[in-house]
Amino acid sequence: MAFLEFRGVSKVYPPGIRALEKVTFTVEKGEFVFLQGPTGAGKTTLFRLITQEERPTEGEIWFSGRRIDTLDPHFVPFLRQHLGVVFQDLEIIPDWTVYEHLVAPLAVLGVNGKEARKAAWDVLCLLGLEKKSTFRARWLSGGEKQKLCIGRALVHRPKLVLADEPTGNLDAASALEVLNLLWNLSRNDRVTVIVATHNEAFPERFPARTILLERGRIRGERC
Amino acid sequence: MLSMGRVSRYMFRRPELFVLGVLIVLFTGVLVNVTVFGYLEAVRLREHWRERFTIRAIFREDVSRESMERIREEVARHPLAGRVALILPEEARARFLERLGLSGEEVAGISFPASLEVVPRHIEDLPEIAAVLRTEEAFAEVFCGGKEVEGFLRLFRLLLQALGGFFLGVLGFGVFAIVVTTALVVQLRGREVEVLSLVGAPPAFSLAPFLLEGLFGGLLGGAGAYLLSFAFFVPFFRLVGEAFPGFLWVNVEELPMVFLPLDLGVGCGMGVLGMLLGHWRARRRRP
Repeated sequence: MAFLEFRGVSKVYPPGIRALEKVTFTVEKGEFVFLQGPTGAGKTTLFRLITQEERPTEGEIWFSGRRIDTLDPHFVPFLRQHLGVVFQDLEIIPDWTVYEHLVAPLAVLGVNGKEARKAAWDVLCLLGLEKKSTFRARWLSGGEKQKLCIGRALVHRPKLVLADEPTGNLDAASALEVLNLLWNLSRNDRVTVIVATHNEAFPERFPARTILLERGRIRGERC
Repeated sequence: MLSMGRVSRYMFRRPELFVLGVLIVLFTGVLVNVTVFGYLEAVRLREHWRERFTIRAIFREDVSRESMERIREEVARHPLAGRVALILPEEARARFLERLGLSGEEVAGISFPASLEVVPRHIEDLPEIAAVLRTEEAFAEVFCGGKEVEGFLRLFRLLLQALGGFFLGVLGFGVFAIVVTTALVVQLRGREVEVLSLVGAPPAFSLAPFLLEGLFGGLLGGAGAYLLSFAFFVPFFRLVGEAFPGFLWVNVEELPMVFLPLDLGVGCGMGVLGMLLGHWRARRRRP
């Protein structure tokens, strides 16, 4: 069985807006996949279905051998603990420091003290934010906030990373740097990564599979 | 410890909610204290005057001893009647002589009819029991205090009505306070709850610091209400007591014993309830 599998998944928002229609695809463990499509194609909805912020109208979603679209709400937090999500709208708290953002997912998992500090520091160094660990998120630039969101998604070593437009606020060089980081993570640590992007140039730079999404339907795949 | 760390982080960086919550609890606590004071005062007045205002129903001369006993038992069974005593002619005569300091010879020839002495359960039921007794043919006359009682009862009913209105006001304000606290939690802290939920925090994890904050704020507001009430009630009512020595006031020195657990309980209850509702709404906004 595939690591992540969508079987004929549709999502209809009231009053009948079809965000996804009969979406079927699989992603293997350790695979790096681009989900490419224009704005409004349904990329964010697809991610929200994986994180269980939304439930599909029809179809099945399987993750790591378990069906998650019918998951009891009490178990949703435990599913999310295995995911690292880079949100399109960042979802950071302006009053928290960079360090506090990074240790939050670790605290949720019960990782505290020295171990948490080390994990947070490693990610800070990886993203070049080590000098800003005590800065509040509101003081960061757009690009730094984006990096912070990426760091928070990686710090607890999730099984699956979902990056929704992770380069949206970054310049070309930084965007490439971030994508390289996610690519290496997938290659070296066998972490499954799905990057949603509307940029057609990025998928061409990496030898990764690209799922083309348009108006809620899969239009094809490119390798 | 982790929760405590998170509590201090939330409280001191964005203190608006905490300060507003404490002030709301403090104000509610003061209102509760005023209501409780009014209630204690009413209870004290009721108990004091209940013993003073009794109903005396005089039996007709031709009523037999057995009938008197039967009527006494019937009246004693009435739900509004408290203590019911049958005063026989000999006892009535002895009381009269004792009260006026007279000897038996001085009242020779004067008859002392038997009577029924009724103390109501509650002072405000006095006229109702008197009306019931007046329907009994065995009684020649029923006395129930006269104008003094009517005046007192009017005053007492007014006090009860004011107290009832005040109590409704406190309840309304309490509900308003909890709704406001809830809305504030969602407005100011909802983002934190949402983000914690998105990174996989179970409800208990994200709730813990907010609950502690609510508890702490409630305790602080409750303690503030206690101190404020204590600082006001004790000197004020000591002054009033000295100015109107005849009037019965609740012993203000005893009030703090009532106010302390009450204020802390109300404060903690409001803080915890506000945070629970706020957290629930924040989680529901983005599951």
